[in-house]
Amino acid sequence: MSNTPSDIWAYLDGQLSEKERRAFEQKIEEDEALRHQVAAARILDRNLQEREPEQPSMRFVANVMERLPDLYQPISVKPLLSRKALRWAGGILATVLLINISLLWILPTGSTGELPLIGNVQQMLNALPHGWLLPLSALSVGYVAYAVLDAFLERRLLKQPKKA
Amino acid sequence: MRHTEYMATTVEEKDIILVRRVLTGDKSAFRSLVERYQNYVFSIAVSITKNREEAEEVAQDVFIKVYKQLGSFQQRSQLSTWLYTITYRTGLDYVRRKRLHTEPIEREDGQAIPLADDLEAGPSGQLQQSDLQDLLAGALEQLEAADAALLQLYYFKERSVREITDITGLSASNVKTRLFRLRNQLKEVLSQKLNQEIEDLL
Repeated sequence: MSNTPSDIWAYLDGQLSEKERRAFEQKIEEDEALRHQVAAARILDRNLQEREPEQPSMRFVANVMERLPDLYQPISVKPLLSRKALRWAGGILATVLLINISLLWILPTGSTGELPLIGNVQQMLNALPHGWLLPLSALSVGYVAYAVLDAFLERRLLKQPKKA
Repeated sequence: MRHTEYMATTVEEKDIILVRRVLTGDKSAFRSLVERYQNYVFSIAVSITKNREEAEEVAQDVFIKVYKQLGSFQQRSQLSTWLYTITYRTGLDYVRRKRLHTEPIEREDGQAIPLADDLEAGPSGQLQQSDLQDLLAGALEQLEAADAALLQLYYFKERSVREITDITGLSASNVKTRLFRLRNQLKEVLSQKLNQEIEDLL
């Protein structure tokens, strides 16, 4: 390998193969003029690396922001259901379920007179005295499921993108 | 700042989240991008225009262009690479347009860079680090616009030739050759002032 200025920079830039690097370092050891050249190049390289970026004026960011056109429209990324509504739905659901369970304890299910604590679904439905409890329960469950889905989609919209 | 920004660890990931927020109408996210990159964009613009006022104008135009074209940013490369590409082209376009109206002062390729005469070594024969940086800044100012930008970008991009080819559109071999030549010119300039520092290194 002949000693050219580009060899010096290839060496300092880490572009030489392991074999080439060792050979070049051997030459540096043997050649005082080359050693001098490499030292000068190393100082320059270090100073180029250490150069701090220039700073624009204090008004720069404000000037840019003032010139921005209105291109992008804000979109809502908030949940459609407020936390307050969610708490109300949860409360209603809990109350309805509590009433249902209480009724299962209190009311007899038929001729046997046993309490259907661990009865089948049919027994439980039979035990419900009022027709409005079941639809209300279903509505509450559906409402909460909808709220959870809404919150999930909101998080997904803001999910961290995968690295390109 | 949102939850996902805390989760993002690298600059690239944070940039992509900011870009998404801008595209959903959040201008404050663009302010964060400007604050993050203003010094780099401005430095490249200074190296091309050799004038701080003009560089500020160029840098502002760059950020406006970036804002307008943000929807077309494909995320195949880093945001900084895309930003520097726009800076490089905008800066060179500015210089070309300016030259149409003024008399060009060309420096022939390979001609020695003038040496700053007002920097002298101290009593010990050694230059202060700040003097060295001033000397270097003066030498860089004498470079052609595209060459100065190339060198600036190379060190901003942690010496990645591939990134520089993406930004400038030059071939890898062309980039390497030009970088070798430019740094050799600078080395010759500095060598005249750096005898003591070189002796210390040897």
